[in-house]
Formats: sequence, structure tokens, C-alpha cells
Amino acid sequence: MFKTKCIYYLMLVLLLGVVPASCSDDDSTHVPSFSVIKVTPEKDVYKVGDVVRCSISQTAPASEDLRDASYWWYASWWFADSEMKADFQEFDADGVNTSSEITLTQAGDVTLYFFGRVEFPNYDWRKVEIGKKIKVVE
Amino acid sequence: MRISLQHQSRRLLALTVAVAVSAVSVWADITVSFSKIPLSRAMREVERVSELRFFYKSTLPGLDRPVSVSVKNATERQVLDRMFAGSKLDYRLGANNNVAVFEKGTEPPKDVTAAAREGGVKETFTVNGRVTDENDEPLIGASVRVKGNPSNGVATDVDGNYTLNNVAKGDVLEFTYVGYTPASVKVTHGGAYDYRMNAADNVLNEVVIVGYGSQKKVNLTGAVSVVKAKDVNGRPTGNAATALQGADPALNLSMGSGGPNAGASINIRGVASINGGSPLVLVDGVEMDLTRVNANDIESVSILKDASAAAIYGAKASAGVVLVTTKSGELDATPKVSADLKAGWRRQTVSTDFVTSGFWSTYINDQANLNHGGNPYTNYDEYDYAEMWMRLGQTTESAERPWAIPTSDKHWRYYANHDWYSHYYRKSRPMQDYNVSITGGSKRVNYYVSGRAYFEDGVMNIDNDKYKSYSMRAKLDIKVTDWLKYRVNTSFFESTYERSGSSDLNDFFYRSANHALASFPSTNPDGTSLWDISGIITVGTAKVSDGYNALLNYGKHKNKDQNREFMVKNAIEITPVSWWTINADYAYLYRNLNREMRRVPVPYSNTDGIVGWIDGAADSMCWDMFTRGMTNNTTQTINAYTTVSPSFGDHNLKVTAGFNGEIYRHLYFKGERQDLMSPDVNSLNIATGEVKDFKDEINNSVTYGYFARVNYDYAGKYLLELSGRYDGSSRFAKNHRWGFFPSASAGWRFSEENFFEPVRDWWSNGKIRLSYGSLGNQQVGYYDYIQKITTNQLMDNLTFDGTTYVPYASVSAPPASDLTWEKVITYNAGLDLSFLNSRLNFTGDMYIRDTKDMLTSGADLTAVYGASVPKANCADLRTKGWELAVSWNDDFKLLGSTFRYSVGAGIGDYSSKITKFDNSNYKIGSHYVGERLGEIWGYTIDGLFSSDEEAAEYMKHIDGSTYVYSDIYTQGPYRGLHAGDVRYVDVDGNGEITPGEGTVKKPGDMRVIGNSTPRYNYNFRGSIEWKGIDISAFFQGIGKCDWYPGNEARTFWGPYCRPYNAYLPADFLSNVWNEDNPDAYFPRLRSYEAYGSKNSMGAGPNTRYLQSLAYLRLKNLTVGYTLPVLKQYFQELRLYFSGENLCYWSPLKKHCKTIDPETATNSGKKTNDALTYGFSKSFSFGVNIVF
Repeated sequence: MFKTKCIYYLMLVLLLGVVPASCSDDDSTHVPSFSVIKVTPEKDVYKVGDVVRCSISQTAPASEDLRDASYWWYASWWFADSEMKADFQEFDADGVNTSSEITLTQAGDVTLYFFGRVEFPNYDWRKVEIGKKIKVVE
Repeated sequence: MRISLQHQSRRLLALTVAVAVSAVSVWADITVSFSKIPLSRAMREVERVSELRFFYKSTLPGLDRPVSVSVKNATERQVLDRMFAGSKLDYRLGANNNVAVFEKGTEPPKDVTAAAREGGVKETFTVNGRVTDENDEPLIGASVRVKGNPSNGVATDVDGNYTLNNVAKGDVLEFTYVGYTPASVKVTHGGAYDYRMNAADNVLNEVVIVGYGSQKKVNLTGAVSVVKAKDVNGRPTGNAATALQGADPALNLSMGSGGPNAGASINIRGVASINGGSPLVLVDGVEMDLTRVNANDIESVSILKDASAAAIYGAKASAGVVLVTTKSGELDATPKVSADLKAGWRRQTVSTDFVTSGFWSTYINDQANLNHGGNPYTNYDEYDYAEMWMRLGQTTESAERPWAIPTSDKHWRYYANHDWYSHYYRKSRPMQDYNVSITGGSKRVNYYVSGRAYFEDGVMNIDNDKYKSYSMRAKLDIKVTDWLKYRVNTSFFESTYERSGSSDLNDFFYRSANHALASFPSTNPDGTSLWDISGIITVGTAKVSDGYNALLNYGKHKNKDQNREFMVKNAIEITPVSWWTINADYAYLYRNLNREMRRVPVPYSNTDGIVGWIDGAADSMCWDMFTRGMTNNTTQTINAYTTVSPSFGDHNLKVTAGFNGEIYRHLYFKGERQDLMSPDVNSLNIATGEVKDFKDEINNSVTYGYFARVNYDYAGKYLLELSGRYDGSSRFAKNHRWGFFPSASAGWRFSEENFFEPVRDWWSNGKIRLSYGSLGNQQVGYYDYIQKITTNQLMDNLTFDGTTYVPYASVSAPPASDLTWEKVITYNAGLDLSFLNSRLNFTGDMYIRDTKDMLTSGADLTAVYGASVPKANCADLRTKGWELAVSWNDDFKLLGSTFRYSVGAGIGDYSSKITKFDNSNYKIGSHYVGERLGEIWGYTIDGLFSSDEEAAEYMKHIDGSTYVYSDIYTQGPYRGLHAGDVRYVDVDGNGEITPGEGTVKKPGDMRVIGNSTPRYNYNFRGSIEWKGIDISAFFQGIGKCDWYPGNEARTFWGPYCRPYNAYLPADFLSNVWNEDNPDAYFPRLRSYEAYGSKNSMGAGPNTRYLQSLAYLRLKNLTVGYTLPVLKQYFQELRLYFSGENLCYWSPLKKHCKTIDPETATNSGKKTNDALTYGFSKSFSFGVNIVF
């Protein structure tokens, strides 16, 4: 009986030790956190020809091993157009990244994207992709 | 003609099979001879040689009357009439060959069989019993029959029981079962006759096939290994060559590639000559290609390793002999139909996890090229990189994020994540293998007929390459008379391998990965293929996949290789007296290879709406052209020899002497013509353009040999063998054609001595062997002794009329007038031991092999000679080696059933050294005296520079600018050495990193850093059988072998060789030096560093990147279960799984998981670059059915 109890407690200790260990995340490297994209002017429905700006705030910094980062804005209809280039922008002192003016040229549900390439040591480069869908009509 | 030949050979084969089968059923001729013996005895004699069975009352008068009969091939009635002529007795022949004998004048029985049963004409019984093994386990399917009456026999049932009727007093019951010693019991009464059979003592009684005969293994004095049927049958491999790989440590068998129709490279105990040379492979006495042999047909394989064993084969046996014996039927055996049906799939043995991200593929190659020469590979800017980054992780193209976008000038811009490996190669492909055989025999005829169909899909993904082969074998042994046997053996093999792409498959492996970044898709949105993107996407010239992408997408290039092989062998054996046999055989082997190649111009596009064509001027693969090449080889082999084996008390003698002749004829025809009227019809008949190539090539060779062998043993204790062969070859000039090659060997079975008596209980056998032998190597060109003129050659790009190329002739190098045989002399010492009733066995051999007078370029001649140096017999080589093999077999009872198990292991090693060579300056790169074959000369690297300062300090003292660091000193943005570059050791301390004078005496900073010869070839295997379950595993490996990756070993080097390679290992960047990864394996990323001869890793081998190709491979794992059901229908019903090449362990994996250690040194284009058809592992499920 004593032996059984000992084995039981031993198993319990092992289980309690193993489960949290296996679930722990020892990856200290992490990308910054961001707010949602804010589109200015703010409307429920936009018209073709409207000009908007997008902005996003950094809500938490990247881990300290961050080497480099680049961020840009993009719109879903630009992917098929080689003339449309990524709109590279940097964060200001308040931690806000604002796009250039974007002219809405396509009707329908379109997505405005904020992309980032966040570079950590040893080619550990991570992708940031945040989108906001807006409705555009003719 | 092609169709006709095919039909003829198939018809002949069908006829042979038909004869084989029909002969068994209709044979009724009787040949018997006796003089003045009592009638009762005469009847027994006739029963012995025929199917007749006599029934009579023992009280009949006249049974002791003397009769004489001497007939040859007589009918039954002719024999009976003679026996009963003038007798008081008469006979009546009834059904089932029963003969009732009765007194003349009395009523003959109407139903002979019934009369036999009823009339008490001969007292018969019903006997029954149980047949078991030594452990009282029932033997299922054991044969029990009445001797001399094969029609009266049965097989034991699932419990080992049998019942036999009509057995007469005095009859003999014969018990036979595969793997057990046959036994017989005389019948004295009706009732039970149980029998416990003994397993055949496989070691002491094992008979080994040797040259022109067989010998008991215990009496062998030469070095001979045997591979048994169970080790090669049933393996999921394409042919016998792959099944034999690793089976014996002395047999080094490597496949040229993993392709379905790949050839095998074989050597025994290493290379016998610097000129190569392969062992003689004889299948049933006829020289054949192992890749054309069905592994399921093999009964045994004898590997004759030393000169003593191989001497009787003379001129072709200098590199050893592999004797393959196929299965035969057995006399008095009930017909047995066996089927082995399996299907499965194959996968690559190596990792195929490559970078498929367009961003990373482009980034790595651009950075590598930028660091090398100052320019990136592509002209992509930060916006293009942003486009690729946004598509990162997309494995398929989506409408929102297309992979190709037209630019304002209508050129395509590419942002794909294209998996080029999966585009070109299949990771899993099916295979099927169907084998059926029928075997059996009567009193006079036995037969073995087998057929196989094998289908394998190849690794190519586009227009999948397909291989199929069919083979058949029919063997018939006829005992014509007691003294004459006739044997016919036919085999047929046909394989077809069809594939797309260029005619040279190796060229595909070599070039198709070029200029194929993952950011490039295969096709444009309009369906056209990518090809020339020079200046549009890339900075320099770039043709995507070197044209293979467009070529395969178009799908009009077709290639077809068809091999056909037909062999028929007729043999007779005459036995005038029991100790004298005379053998003669004639074999005709016909081989045909038909190769078709179709090339066409191929469309491509780099601009939206504009399609261009790749033609022959742009790439020679794309001429509009058809080529047909046909090779016909015939080999006629004649053997005539006689063997006498008298015994005088304890003195046993065996003398074999004879003649062997071989006539070989090779015919090659090739036609190649341009401009066909259709891209879809492949025939020279519709070609209208330039004849590009037209060849007609004929070679003949003849080899004659007279051989003799004398075996003597005294009481099986002292063994002696002398043999010699006098060989003549047409490959040498008249006065140098003939050579005599003697050998001698002796053995002492010390276990037969009286002093051994005290240990005989546990020490079963002990034998010491010694041998010496000399062999000739005739493996030189057909006409090397003659100066040749090659005509009908066309000058490239030179015409007089603008269209027809100018023909020219050229003269070969002058030959040496005294060109003759290379000689191979072998000294061998061996030890064979068996313990514990032969359950534990050990064999060991040590040898020295001297190859004399190897053919090579002779002494340098002055330049005024005006021709290249003629070849002469002027180099020697010495090989030293050893082999060990140990095995253990046993069984015991486990839970009431017999548990059988066996384990075995073998290891062998050799090393070869040049002992004579005309290289007085000891130049490295040529052979020299003292050189170990396979030596790798190279530089020493002791690490990577940890800082720029350390590199600058190094440059102050060491000048590597003219050799290993030339490019780094002169090119790119980081000229000179920096942190992360490799650090060479100035071994000779002269302040430079150079190869010195390139000689052994002055090698500069080069030293011997490794050896590419595979060393310590080992294997081990184990098997268990219990309660119908069988498991066997076979491991094989190499203990040591060095490899310096060639400058095109692209999946090893990545962009360090070429900065535009499709296949970058997925973990590549984690092995590249950077400030964050100072302990990385690879240096600072610079392209071409491993490619050019002036670059840090391409200047020659070095210690840091020298790889070990040692490996251990699970070659085969088979798990089977014999179902204990449906015994009334099947003798055996077994389901099994068999895996081949399932996994391997190798130090190579530490830095390279994408190259198999067995293919690393292979390549169809360059050496050591592993650009070849990869090896496969296979998984197959099958069923064995015997009924």
C-alpha cells in the first residue's frame, strides 16, 4: 500500500513537472504588437476616387534582439499592377506609422494592408501582415 | 526487322516452354538392359526405370525363369512382350500402368487394378503416419511417396499426417522436405510409419557451385562465398544486382544511379587494375548482365574471390567471378506453382526539403553574388523584394497575389514561391512486381518455368518516366538414359524505359536546376514557358532551367530505350560410369538495345503576347532532329569438359579438363537527321534535312581457353587443388595472344585428425586454406594492338558549300608492339571454423593481390615524335585485404512452438598501392610509386577568421593571392580576407598557400587528407521464425570513405558554387557564417567560392569540407505471416511487408541531408557532384502463394 502511494505521488510530481515544461514557450524573440489600422477619413462606405490615409500604432515593442525592421503600406488591387509600389513608411516618435495618400480606384470590398519585415539575428526574419477591409462603391 | 526479331525470339521461347511442359506428360520410352535374371527380379528392374507396376501371386510358376532384355527407348508393350516371350506366364496392361501377371491358359483379369487389389496378387497395405521435424513440429507439405512409383505419393496435411494406399511389403517410403535431409523407410507391415526428419546440415554438407562443377563446402580450398536464395529472393528490387548489393563484404556492388534501368558497377575485393575491370558474371555458365536477371530465379550465387577459385575461367576472371545458378526442377517432385505478387511505392532516400520561398531564394543568391563580384544575381529592387515578402508563405498562386505581373514594357516580373523540386520530381511513385513459377518433375524429366512482370514509375514528374520489364526462364532437364542427360535453358528479358526531356538524362540532373530561383514560376499567366530572362530579371545571362523548363512543358521531346536479351543453352551430360562424366554445352546469347531520341524546337516567352522559339542554334537540345541507335551483341559460348572422380580407399581424386570458347560480335548502328516533317512523328523516313551523324561500328573478339583442374583429398583431411588455364585472346597481336595461368591451393581439415577427438563434441569443423594463383586480364580494347583510322567524322562549323560539314579522318595513338595480358597474382590464406554442431560458423581470409604489367601510357617521348604516348604494359599494383564472416543459427521451443533464429555478420577491407609506374617526377594527379589508390590531396583549413583584424594580420604574413584566395583578393565589395572567410594553414611555412611544384616531394601546402576508396565494407543480418511469423533484417554499410564535394555538388554547396541553383537546403542559412553565427560550418557567403580553381573552396580539396561517406543502411526489412488457413487449397499462403533502403545513418548527414552517401561520388556529367538519378527506398506489400 505504501509502495503504491509512493508510486502514485511520484507519477503526480512527474506529471505536474512535465506538462508545464512542455507547454512553456522559451522563444524570447517576438515581433512588436500593433493596433488595428485606422483609415482617415473614417467612413462606412467609400467612393471610387476618394483619397484616404491609413495609420497604425505600435502597442508593444519588439524583443531586444531586434536588428532591423521595415514597414510599408499596400492595397489589395496593387498586387496585379507593376506600377504600384510598396509605400515604405517609418514610425514617428509617437509610435504611429502613417501611409501616403491612397486613391481608391476600385469598387468592391478592398483591403488596405500594413506589412512589416522584422529582422532578428541569424536570418530570423518575421512577417507582419495586418489588413483592413473597406467597402468602395462607384 | 525489329518486329521480326522480336516475334521470332518470343515464338522460340514459347516453343521451348511448350516442349518443356509437354515432354513431362508424354514421356514413355523405356531403356533397360539385363541378362539372365529371374523374371521376378526383371519386373523390379523394369519398375525402377519406368512407370509400370506389376501385380502377381508369388505362387505363380515361372517367376524364377531367367530372362534377358536389352532395349533402348522401347515402348511398354515391347518390353513386356520380350519379358514374357516363351514364358508360362502372360500379362495384361491396365490403367495407371498397372500390369497384372497371370498363368497362361487361365482367365485374365478384366480390371487389372481391381484384380490387383482383390486378388492378393501382391500383398499391399495402407500406411499412414506423421512427419515432424527434430522438435516434433509437424512438417506441412512434406512429400511421402513409394520409391519407384511416383504416382503413389502424397503431401502431409496441416498436422503433418499422411495416408498411402497400395503399399506393398518391401516397398520403400521416401520422405522429402525442403531444407531437410531426405530419408527412406522400408515397409514391412501396414499401419503407422511416423518419421522425424533432420534438418540438412547446411554447413558441412553444403554443396557449392564452382567453375565447371560443384564441391562440398568443406572440401573447398579456394576463397569462395555463397549467397543463398533466401537472401535475394523476394526482395522488392528491380533486378538481381540491387538484390545482391552488400550481400558479401568482398562484393562491392554500386549502382550507377538510382534510375530504374541503371547499370551496376561490380568489383570483388576492390579494383584489380587502374584500368578498371569487372568480375566475370556467369548466369548458368553464360556471361550475362546481373541487371537483366530476375532475383527470384536465383538458387545460389557463388563468389569466387581468389585466383585459385577463379583460375579455371582464365582470361576474364582476373577481377574474380560471380557464378549465378538459377533454380531447376527436381526429379520425382509434384508440380508446384508459386506466385509472389507485390506492389508498393518508392520515395527518395534523402531530404527533399528545399527553399521554396521566392523571397529567400532570391535574397540568398543575390547576396552571394553581390559579395562575390559586386552585383546581385537578379535586378530586383526593394519594391520587388517587398512584393515577394508579401507573398511569403503562399504555396499556391492566388488571384489577389499573382506570381507573374506584366511590367509597363510588357516583360513579365516574377514573385513566385515555386517548388522546383516538386515541379520536376515525384516524391512518391508506384511499383508493381509479379512473379510466377512452375516447377516439378517426373522420374526422367524435371522442369522450372518462371515469368516476371515488373513496372516502376520513375522520379520525373512531368510526363512521368516509366520503366517496365518482362522476363521469362524455362529450364528442362531430361534423363534420356541412365547415362545421358540433356538440358535446355532459355531466358528472355525485355525492358522499356520511356521518358521526356533530352536524350541525356544526366544532363537534366546537371542543368535543370540552373537559373531556377523559387521566385520564378514555370509558366507565364498566358501558359507560355519561361526561358531567356537575361537582362529582364537577371543582371547577366540566364536561361531558366537551362531550357529544360520550356522543353518539358512543351512535351515533344521523347526518348525510348529498349533492351532485349535472349539466351538459349543446350547441354548434354554423359556418364559412362559412375565416376566419369562428360559435359558439353553451347549457348547463344543475343542482346539488342534500340534507342530513339526525338528533339524539337521549343516555344517560350518573356514578354506578354510574344512567343519565341528555342532552336538548335540556341541550344543543341532543340534541333528538330531524330536519332536512332541500335546495338546488337551476340555471344556464343562453347564448353566441352570431362570430369573423372575415382576413389582408392581414402584417396579421392577429381580431375576436370576441357575447352572453353567464346565468340563475341558487337554491331552498332546510328542514324541522326534533322528537319522532320512533323513534331509528333518520330522516324528517319520523314527527316528531310542534314544528316548529323551516321555510324556503323563492328567489333569482334574471340577467346579460347584450355583448362584443367585436379582435386585430391585424403580421407577428407588433406585437400589439394591444382588448376591451370591456357588462354588465347584476339585482343592482342599474334605473338602475344596466348598465356598460361596456373594456380594451386591446399587445405587441411585439422578437425578430422585424431587429436581433435576430445573437442569434437563442440568443435564441429576446422580448416586452414592456402592458395596461390595467376590470372590474365584481357580487359583492354578490342583492337588496342592496332593503330586505327577513324573516318566519317565531320568538322564542327566548317563547310565549303555552307550546308555540308567537311568530313575528316584521324589516326589513333601508335600502339606498343608488345602489348599483352595484365597479370593478376593472388596469395590467399583462409580459415573456416564451425562450432556447436555447426550452429556457429566462422570464415576468415587474408590476401595479397599483385597486378602486374597494367596497361598505361609508357615513358614520355620527345615532342618531335608527333603523337601521343602509346600504351604499354608498364605499371604494377598491390592490393592487400581481409574478410571475416560469422553466423549463428539455432532454434528452441517457445510457448509450444519452435522459435528459429539466425544472425550473421561480415566485414571486409582492402587497400591498393601502386608499386610500379613511370612517373619519375612523382607528379600529383598521375599515379606514382607508393600511391594508395583513392588518395585525396588537399589543403588544411583550421577554421574561419573570427574578426577582420585577425584576417588582416593573417594577410600580413601569408600570401594566398595567387591560389586559394585569388578571387577574394581581387573581386567584389569585400576584397581581401575578412571575418568569416576560411583560414588556410601554411603547412610548409613559406608564407604562401600554394600546391608547390605539384609533386609528391614538393607538394607545397597540400598533403594527403583522405581517401575515396570505400573501406570496411560490412553487413549484418538477422531473422526469426515463430508460429508462422517471420521477420528478417539486413543492414549494410561502409566504415570509411572520404569525399570532397565536386564543384557542381550544388545541394551541398548551394550558392557557394553557382548563385542561381534551384535546390537550396531549407536549413541552408543556419549553416552560413555571419556575425550572429560565428561558429557556422560554411564561411562568409560568397558565390563561386567552391566553383573556380582560384577560389577558396574550389582550388582543391581541403580538410574542413572533406566529408565522410561512411554509412549504415537498413537495406531490407521483411515482416511476413504465413496464414494457417485454406491448407486444402494452398501449400503456403503468406502475407508480407518488405522495405528496401528504409533508412541510413551517415556522418554526411551532419552537414548534408540532401545527398545519399552512395550517390555522392556518382555523376553522369562530372565527378563527385552527386548530380544523378537519386536512390529510392521502397515499401511494398505482397503475398506468396504456393499450391
